[in-house]
Amino acid sequence: MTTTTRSDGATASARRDGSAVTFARVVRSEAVKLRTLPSTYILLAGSIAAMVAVGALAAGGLVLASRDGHPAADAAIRAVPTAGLSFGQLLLGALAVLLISSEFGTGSIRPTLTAAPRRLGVLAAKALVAALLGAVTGAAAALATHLLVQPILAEENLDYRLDGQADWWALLATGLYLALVAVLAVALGTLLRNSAGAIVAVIGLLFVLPTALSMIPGETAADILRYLPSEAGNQLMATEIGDGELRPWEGGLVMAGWTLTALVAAAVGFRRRDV
Amino acid sequence: MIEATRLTKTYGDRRAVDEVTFTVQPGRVTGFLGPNGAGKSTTMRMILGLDAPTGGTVTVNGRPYRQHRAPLRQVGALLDAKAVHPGRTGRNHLLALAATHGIPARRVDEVLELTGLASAARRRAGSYSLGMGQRLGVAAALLGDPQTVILDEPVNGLDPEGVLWVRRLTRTLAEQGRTVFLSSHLMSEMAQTADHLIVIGRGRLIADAPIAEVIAGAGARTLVRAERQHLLMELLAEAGATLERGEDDELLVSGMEPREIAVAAHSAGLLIYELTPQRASLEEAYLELTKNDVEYQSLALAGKGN
Repeated sequence: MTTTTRSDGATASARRDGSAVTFARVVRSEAVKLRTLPSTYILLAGSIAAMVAVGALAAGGLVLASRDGHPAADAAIRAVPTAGLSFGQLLLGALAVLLISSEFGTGSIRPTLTAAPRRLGVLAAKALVAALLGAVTGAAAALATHLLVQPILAEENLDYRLDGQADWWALLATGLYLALVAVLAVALGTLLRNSAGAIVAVIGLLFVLPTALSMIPGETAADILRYLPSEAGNQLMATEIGDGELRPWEGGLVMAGWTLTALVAAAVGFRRRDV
Repeated sequence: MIEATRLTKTYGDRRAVDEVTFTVQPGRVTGFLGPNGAGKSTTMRMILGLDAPTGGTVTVNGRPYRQHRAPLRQVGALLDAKAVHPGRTGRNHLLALAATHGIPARRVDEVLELTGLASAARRRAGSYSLGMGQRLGVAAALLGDPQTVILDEPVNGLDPEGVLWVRRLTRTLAEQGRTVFLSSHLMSEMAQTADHLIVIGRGRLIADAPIAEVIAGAGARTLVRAERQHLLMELLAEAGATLERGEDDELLVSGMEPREIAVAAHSAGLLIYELTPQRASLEEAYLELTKNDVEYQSLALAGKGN
């Protein structure tokens, strides 16, 4: 005890210098939290594995169809790297939800906000970390899928090189899309404060709702479907734009609108409510 | 220093904390006592800016908590030992907190050493016993070498060695001139640790006084045994004392000093054969205090009926 007391006194003033909470430090703290949980790695690996595996299946399907005399369209081949996105996004979304909801679940939100009392800064840091994670995961998974499926596609000479701007854009856009998904998930986790509830909300919004709507015949359902976050966001990666479909930048803006709305609602609630 | 002014928190109709005003001074250990649901934890959360007061203000070292630029340097707090992600190691939990202030990993290892948690630092917090969780919470509170330390039930779940350690630690922190604010439901523990007591019940401030005064104020009674007891009782009642019959021929007198009792008996020619001053324990004092609060409530109701 005496030793500690002495060292406290000697270094206290030195340590007080430049020790204020800054946004960069809160981001670093969030990064530490992210990389010190086993669940991070499990969900990340699951997300990437889902995308790669579904991509490989899609490539295999194209190869088989081609052998049966149904040559694959170029757009279908180039959609292979993102074929598994609808599954991969759910696991990544779950990971992003947990960034905040697990803090409410375990009560560690209190130490967190005691250390960094500016709540909007904490939420922004979590959103930023989630966005970076989504961007890297999306781009990396799409690139990995592209590289891994080339030998499969090569069997029917369907393989291709990443040579055009559009090819590279599709990879980067996958990252952009998952970044938006991750921020949307952080916002839902902040609003609902409950891991299970928020993960269900993410799955409902990104997967169940579009699937259900696509089964309903008629113009209205199709119109609504077009503006759902996952449908609009997927236009970011589209290589061919069909009639009445949103252009990539339009789809991106719609998706960003959803994300921003959820984030603003989350920010208002997070700042006002007791924890 | 912690200063609460008319601090109030309501949940719907219920006033969890009701216009509480107090100051926690540096250089001493201030105990925070109250029955379950009295509003202790709510008050502590408001001090730390986690819950927003419905009314009134509370500042730490002169500012609302949320306005401090380096809050961990100002205030260290242990609110709930279980408020740690069970999948993260104790050391990583502290590293994440430290990162917000640019506190080096060296300091994290220092507080782990200080709290006796170094050997378990790289184990997942989910595997910790309640006592280890408390030590981790204390380690987090000390991380920023803060001027003010707030500990909610720190000895809860600790073994006797741990209880002794917390007692010594809080004493040392107070001797270093820091503000130490400590809640506990263990009165005996509080009696040995605190210099000053703040007692709340039903969200209201009941007492704010040095611990010796709280004990003296609530429990200064004298046990008297005398011949012709009823005569003595009339005499003492006239003099304004409060009387209570004890076992057998015992009479418990409060509101009069032993010497005053003896003088009164002597002047009336009554024989006293026992006169024993009784010092209440803190526990009795505390029960007395909270009982008075309850009695005050029902008296007020009875008064309306008349």
